[in-house]
Amino acid sequence: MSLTAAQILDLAPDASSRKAGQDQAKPAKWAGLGRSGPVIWGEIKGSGAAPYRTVADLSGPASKCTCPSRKFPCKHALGLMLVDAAAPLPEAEPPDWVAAWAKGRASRSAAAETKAREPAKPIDEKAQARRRQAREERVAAALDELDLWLRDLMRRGLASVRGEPYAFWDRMAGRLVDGQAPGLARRVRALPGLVAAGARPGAARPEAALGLGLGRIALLVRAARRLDALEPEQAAAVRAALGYPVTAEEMAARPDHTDAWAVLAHAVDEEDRLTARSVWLVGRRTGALAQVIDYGTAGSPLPPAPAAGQDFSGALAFHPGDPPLRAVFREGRAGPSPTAVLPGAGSVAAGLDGFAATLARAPWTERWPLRLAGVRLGRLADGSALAAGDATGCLPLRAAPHLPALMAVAAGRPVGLFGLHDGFGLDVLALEADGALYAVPAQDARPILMRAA
Amino acid sequence: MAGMAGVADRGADLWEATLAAALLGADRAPAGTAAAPWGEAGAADAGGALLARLAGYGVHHLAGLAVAAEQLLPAEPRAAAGPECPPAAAARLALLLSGGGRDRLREWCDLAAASGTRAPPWLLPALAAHRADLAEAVGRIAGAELAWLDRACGDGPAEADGPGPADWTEGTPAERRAAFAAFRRRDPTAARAALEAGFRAEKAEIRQSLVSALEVGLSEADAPFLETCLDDRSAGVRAAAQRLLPCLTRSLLASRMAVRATAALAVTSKRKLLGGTAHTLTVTLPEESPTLARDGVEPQASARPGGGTRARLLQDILGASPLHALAAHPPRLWIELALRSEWADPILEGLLAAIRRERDADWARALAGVLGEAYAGRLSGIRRTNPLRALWARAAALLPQAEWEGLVEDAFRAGEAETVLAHLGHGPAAFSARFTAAHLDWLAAVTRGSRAERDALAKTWLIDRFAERALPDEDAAAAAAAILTRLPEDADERLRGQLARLAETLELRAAMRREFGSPFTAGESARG
Repeated sequence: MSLTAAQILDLAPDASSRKAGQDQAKPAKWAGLGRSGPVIWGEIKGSGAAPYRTVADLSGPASKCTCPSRKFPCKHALGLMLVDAAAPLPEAEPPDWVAAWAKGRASRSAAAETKAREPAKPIDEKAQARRRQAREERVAAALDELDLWLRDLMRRGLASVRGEPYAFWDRMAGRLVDGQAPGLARRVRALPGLVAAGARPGAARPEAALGLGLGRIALLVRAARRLDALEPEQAAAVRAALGYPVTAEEMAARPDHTDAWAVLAHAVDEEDRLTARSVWLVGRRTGALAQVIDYGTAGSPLPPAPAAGQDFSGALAFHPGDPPLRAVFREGRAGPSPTAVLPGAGSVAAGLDGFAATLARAPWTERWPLRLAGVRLGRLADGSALAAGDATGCLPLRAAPHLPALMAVAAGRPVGLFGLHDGFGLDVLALEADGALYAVPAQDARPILMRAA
Repeated sequence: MAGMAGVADRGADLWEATLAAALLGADRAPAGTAAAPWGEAGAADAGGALLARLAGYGVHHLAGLAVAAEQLLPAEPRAAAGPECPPAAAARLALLLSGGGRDRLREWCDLAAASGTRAPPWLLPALAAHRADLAEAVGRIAGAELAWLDRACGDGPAEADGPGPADWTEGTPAERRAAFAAFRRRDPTAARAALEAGFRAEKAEIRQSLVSALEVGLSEADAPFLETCLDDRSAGVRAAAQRLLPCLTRSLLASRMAVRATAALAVTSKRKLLGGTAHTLTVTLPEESPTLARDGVEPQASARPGGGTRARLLQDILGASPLHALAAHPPRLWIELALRSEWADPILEGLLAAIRRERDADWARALAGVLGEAYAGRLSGIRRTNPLRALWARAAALLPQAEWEGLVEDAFRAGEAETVLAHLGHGPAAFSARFTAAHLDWLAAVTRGSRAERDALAKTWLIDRFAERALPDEDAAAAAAAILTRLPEDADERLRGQLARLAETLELRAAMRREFGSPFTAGESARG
């Protein structure tokens, strides 16, 4: 199996790595190139005395290099993968250091598995219950404070709070972090951005966005106080939205959902010194949607994940929630995708009905993935935005640098779209046309698409 | 959805009213008459009640938002302008667009145009970023698609209604010049007549820009009009006419120049006693005059040392006069006599300029031939100097490509590095396959040869130019790689770096051709 050059370049953490990676992608610079199954390796002369040893596993994709760069993957790993993408490396006997790395990875993943299977030490149930109780109390206090703050806002009026500095919002968010409700803190921190944003095509007006954002927080507060009246899955969804973590034991008890999971796109959000990467998947047999979120920081890079356009054949486990969406990877292999059809896609009206049904079950939902089939791209009659539609209706497209590329690939013909809908417009992440899948690159702001499969 | 319209409308009204109240604040907004969206009484205080309404109607509003299908104006389907390029070539383009050089990007565009394929649609917007610097190359392989994209994205509504010829009489100076050049390409005579009609009313800079645009489709029929431009009020217009008229060898200006040239150079023949004829060249340096200045030959303040002002006038007159003015004697005779004259430099430079302008192969052959013999020491009385070699190299570059390549291949065989390097400094932009191979053989020999020759080679940076000019088939790429591996250990780093770049560039260029599915194309070798 191999990754395409575009998929490899999308792994690069920034534009300079993309460029540097290409500079390393010259076979002449490498020595001792070889491959064994999905594992490729080589040595390259860098500025250090000894050549760097680079090894990559394309099925991850994962890589390791002895260079001192803090970027991940480093330019050498990108270069090595690009060399292989240009002309597959010859099969060879892996040298010791490659074998050691592969073995280390296997044993680490095995160790992680056994650790997940059997609880390592007996749990002090009393202390756990005590901690849980303390947290419940702190969250309840934070909810009370937030409720008071919201009512106060409503009495003063949104027009008057639009002039408040960021610190006004950040103070409340900080109180929520102290109150162990980080999910609510994130929502509060997002509010000043909504106030400051100008009107954009395919998005709500700033004051409406602020009103809706406050309304969602109010609904969440209301639901959080009536947890016992909710179904267990719904209650779990509320707790997740508040920011309660899902424990390892809980996740271990979740059933496997085995399918051929098509990876539609990656999306990366920078949140407050944290990089959050969402991998969007859809099951080819069940049509179920899944979002796998991983966090990375400057010190600890994001874990490897299958690239857009690949298929992850294996099991996912969903977090508790209603409707289920967030998931984690379990056993499985990434491989090339046999077909590029968008499973479970439907008309615009069906997509909007699905969005409304989601709101009915979880009205605090900010954005929800939609899959559309057979839509044509064009402009709204009033010229306010680009849009996608079919005979049942149309959806404005959220302004983004990638829209012209989507337009160009669609070429006026019906296509399939995958994106996130917030009620006002669709933020497109992937497009299917002529049996090929094109993904919006996660970290590349240039107006290009990635031909994924 | 039609059945829900009434409900949705009521929802929308409630939402807008609630949002307006929320903006004002519960303290100031009139107490809501509307009940909370869910039946129960929300909260005791006004703020809480408004918050509950905002939340509830907000969700209703969001869930009900829909835009009617008729609101969409779908982009018209784009007709395929040609087959899309092979996937490997598309992947290459993606790489080039995210950090390859401009030269390679242009080459990719040329290869795509030669193979009759189009750029892949998913890269069109990224390619559009290069419309400014690679306008022609990008236009050939993606022009129709990009125009369609501009219309579909609504970026250029003005362009949408003007696919026909633009009006050259309106717009910015640059637009007018482009439109006029297009008009001229379609119908040179009508374009000139149109320009002539309204010429006097135009501003000076427009006149200048449009007159220089006559370069497109220039013919003898333009001469009378250009002749009138020599008396224009604007110096820019006069200069433009002075630049174009010498290209028309039957124009009045050309005949005046011819008279001046024959007056300056005169050959007198005397029959020798022992048979044969002795020729002597008499040079009469021209005087500056207003009529000469009108034709664009003026004394230059920065005349070269060694030649005076009048020698420079002679050079400029010869450069502007038609070669048929010298038809009285064969080219070889003129050149040999000039070479032996005390005014060799201005005469030969002037002739070089005239030959370059008229692209006269016979004269070019004569000039390159005589200078080559002179440099080889086969003409008595002529010293072998470096300036002579440089002049020879420039003259040789005027030869047709095949002859130039033959001449340089001879120099390769003669093995004199200085001569080869002088010639390689000039010559065509793209070499033939045969010459590329010969050049690589020569590089292989020099890089394994003496240290002095290696250093001379590295100093000229000719290898980098060769990487661009070579015809990069698989053999050439392999040969360049072999030269690099067989380079002696003691070779200096600069040369090693240049050869490494050569091998890399040739490999890349060969790979680009491979990805288009043909070793190289006919149109490509004709380029340059």
